[in-house]
Amino acid sequence: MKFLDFVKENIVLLDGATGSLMQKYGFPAGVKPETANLTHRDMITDIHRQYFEAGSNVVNTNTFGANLFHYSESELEEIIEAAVSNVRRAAELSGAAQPKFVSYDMGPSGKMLRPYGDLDFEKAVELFASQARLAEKYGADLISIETMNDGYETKAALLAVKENISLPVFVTNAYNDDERLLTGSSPEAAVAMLEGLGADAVGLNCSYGPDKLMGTIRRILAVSSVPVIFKPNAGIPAVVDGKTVYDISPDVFAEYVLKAVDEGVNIIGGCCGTTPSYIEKLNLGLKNRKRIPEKEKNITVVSSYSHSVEFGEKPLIIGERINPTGKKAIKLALKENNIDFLLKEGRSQQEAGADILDVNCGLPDINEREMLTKTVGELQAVCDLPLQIDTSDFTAMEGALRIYNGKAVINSVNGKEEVMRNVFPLQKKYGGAAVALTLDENGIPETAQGRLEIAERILKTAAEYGIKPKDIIFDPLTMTVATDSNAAKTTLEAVKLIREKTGCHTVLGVSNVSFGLPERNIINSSFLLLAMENGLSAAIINPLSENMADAYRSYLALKGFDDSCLGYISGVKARAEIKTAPSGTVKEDDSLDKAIIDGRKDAAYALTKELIKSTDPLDIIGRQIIPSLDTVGKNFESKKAFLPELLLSAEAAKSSFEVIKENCPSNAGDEKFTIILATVRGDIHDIGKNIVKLLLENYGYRVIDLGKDVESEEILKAAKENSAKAVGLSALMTTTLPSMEEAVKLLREYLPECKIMVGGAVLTEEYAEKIGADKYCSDAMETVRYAESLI
Amino acid sequence: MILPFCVKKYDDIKPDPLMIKRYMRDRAGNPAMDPLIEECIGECAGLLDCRICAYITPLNIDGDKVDLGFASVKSRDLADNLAGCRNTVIFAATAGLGIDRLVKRYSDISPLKALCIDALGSDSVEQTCDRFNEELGKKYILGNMRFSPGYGDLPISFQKAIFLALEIGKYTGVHLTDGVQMVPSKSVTAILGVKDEIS
Repeated sequence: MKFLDFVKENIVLLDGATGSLMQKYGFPAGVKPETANLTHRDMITDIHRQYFEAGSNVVNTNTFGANLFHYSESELEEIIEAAVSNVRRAAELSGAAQPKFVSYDMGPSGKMLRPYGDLDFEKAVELFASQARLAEKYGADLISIETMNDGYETKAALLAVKENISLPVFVTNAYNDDERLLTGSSPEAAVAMLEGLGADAVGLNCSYGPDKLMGTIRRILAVSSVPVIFKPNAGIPAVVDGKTVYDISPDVFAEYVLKAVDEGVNIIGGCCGTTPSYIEKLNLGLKNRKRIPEKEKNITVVSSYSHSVEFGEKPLIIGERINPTGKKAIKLALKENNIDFLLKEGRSQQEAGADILDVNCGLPDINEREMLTKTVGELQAVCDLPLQIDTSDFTAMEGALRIYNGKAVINSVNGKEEVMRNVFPLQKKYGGAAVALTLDENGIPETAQGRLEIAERILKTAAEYGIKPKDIIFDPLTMTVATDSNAAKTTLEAVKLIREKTGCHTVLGVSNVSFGLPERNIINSSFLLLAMENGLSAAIINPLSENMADAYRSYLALKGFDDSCLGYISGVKARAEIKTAPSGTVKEDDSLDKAIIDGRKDAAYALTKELIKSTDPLDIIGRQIIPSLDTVGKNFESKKAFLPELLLSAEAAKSSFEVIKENCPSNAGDEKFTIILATVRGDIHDIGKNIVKLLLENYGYRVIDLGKDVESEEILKAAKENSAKAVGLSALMTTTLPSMEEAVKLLREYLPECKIMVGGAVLTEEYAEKIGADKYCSDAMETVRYAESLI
Repeated sequence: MILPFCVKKYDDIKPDPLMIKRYMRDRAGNPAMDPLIEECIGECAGLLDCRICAYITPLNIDGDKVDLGFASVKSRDLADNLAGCRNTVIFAATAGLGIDRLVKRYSDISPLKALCIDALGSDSVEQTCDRFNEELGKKYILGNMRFSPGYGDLPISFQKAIFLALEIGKYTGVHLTDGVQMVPSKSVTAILGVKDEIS
């Protein structure tokens, strides 16, 4: 019987813990457990056999940590071959009659992925792929990805399995008692991503006993359309008489797990601390239980690493600002590779209430795949909203979808054959909900009915690729009323018609409606209201626009989506505070230099706004900002002021510079010279480097910050391309000093003129000299002083 | 196989403003920092995720060679610190990845705020260690101070042996990078000597 056919028709009984039994049999501490497949074959086979005897249909191989971080290629192959054959042999040795299957057990890599750790996503994919290929080669019936406590690593493992082999795959995550993964994913977010990537069953294992995990398993059941797996621990470990024991008995364990079966869980087993007697109890309980078939959950959902966002009756806001079309500042930021600017746009839209952020990096003379992938990765590090990947370049789309942590919105597909042929395979492989524009080779139909017909054709083609209607969101296209007075009316009709006839959700880019008209915000916000009233599910707008925000908040309050109008009230209040804040803080006897020295950010901002009306910006910088910074800097150097005070002043000065840049952008180019900053390869701490960056920028240097864990070659490349006069390198720990030495050597060889400054907790003057750096800087002020000496 | 004897989450760790100032290197205790510290404490309240997992290991000391069952290491300082103990408790503690995320979020908007949140994380993980230490002290007669890789002559690279043998990532989410740095960054591993059980 094929495994997936068996899963469809039965409640599947998995095994229990392997490690706990190995410990009981005295397998020595400090020896890698997977080696037991070769050295203790009989013991391992006997453990597997006991689970089959207890009733398990599926037994996991003893390969939790079998990966290329722990074993060489030849060792890995030998271990996986033996591990699969051990379970197979156990199945033969067992006299039990039930159907038996061998599951290749795939545990976490043991490393954290970037951006917080140092494991590259593609390297992780390759790590898991090497195991998956061997598991298939040696005859496993399925792959079980398990105990993953990071959603992103789970994606890497699942993608590796799906794109390399054709075995069925189960995925279970280790949730905490707060119903999240350790890296923050909610069950709904994890299920959205894993189903999108094609997992055959999803669920949870490990962490706690079933008592503490019932809430999580119910949340998974509520959103999952594929079978759900429940494989908890036998409670929490404690030491009794020098031995680790768990606090939940087989009877209590079975009671909880079988309750979950009654609620719809169809794949069960045990994790840490469970033994064959736990599985036996489950098996007994299954005797008189019938399988409850899974129901397709008709929900349109996308997710970030942390949470999911569902399309429903309450309309959503998709922030449109990260898009270079018609926006000079974004164009410039993209051309200059200024990711910080894009991140600020992301954060401000989140703060203004966006539910999803659209990300578009399309410019004619840019490597869109590289830029979009980088922006998506960086945005996800600082912002937890789901993203809408907006591009017509299919390679850029694939690059971004591949590294995206969650289930993204794909913007967009349309009725053109060629576009569907390119987009749907990507959506099928990586998951996602696609925005589908109702246009085709003949253009945009003039009637709502015409747009509906295209929508229906799109759904038909999507189905051929195995994509369900719930993962298509239609955009019936907003046209300009200035050139066609029926344009908006047709769009509104199409929104209603498509929702009614297809059941799919809809989205509109609202602002197109007002092209060519004065005071566009007025008509945009009115159109938004009408669209929402016609059933629009999501609007792509600028959430920072007051008119749009007003219309949206009013709509929610009037339509019963805003309990006690709390959202409306807090929105109005927040705006009032913004309006009165900075300009109201200017006092007659206050001065900019005082504000900077005291570190009063808002006052410095307001005072600069006043000053710039009558004073030359260069004078403000040269006579007020820099001397004040110098005063604080000297106090810091003589230990009269400390790091927080230095930073308070630096941030106050930064807010002054912001006013100057807003008013005279030309001054922004008057930088002294370019400095490259980087934390060296292998080092993931950058708080000190960021402080140095702030101060150098204040003093007028053009700083290119390459971030942390940066390869030496990348530092050299940036220094060359930007004709940098100096490079600043940072390292926190002794273990990463060799990377610093390597970077210095490389820079010395190819850019002998470039000055090298080094700093970081473990560095000393002697070491800096030894590796050939020009200057050891013990703190941020010393870096500034050294840079000043180079002018 | 070594399984943990204790896996625990502390939900009631309260960051201490005075300690945050100290970790920020605010030696003057500037009152201007107070609102910022309060703001950061508020913002981190739902994000702190203080956890520990702990293991008991055998202990054999031979000169400067310390054998912990799963690995042995040469360290005079560790040997001295564990003198007279029968076992060791090795534990990992963390304040969670939420702190790293927030530090990253603020790193270019406000390095001062990032510094403050970083300090708050340092204080939280120290408090987590202290709390666990205290609880352990009620059950066992403990040796000297807790000792971490990198202290004295105990090489930082000993972290690799600890992470290889004990499934710290599985229970706390703490991982080790190739550069032997822990992620989440506000994490600690430490070795404690155990003399006897309190009867």
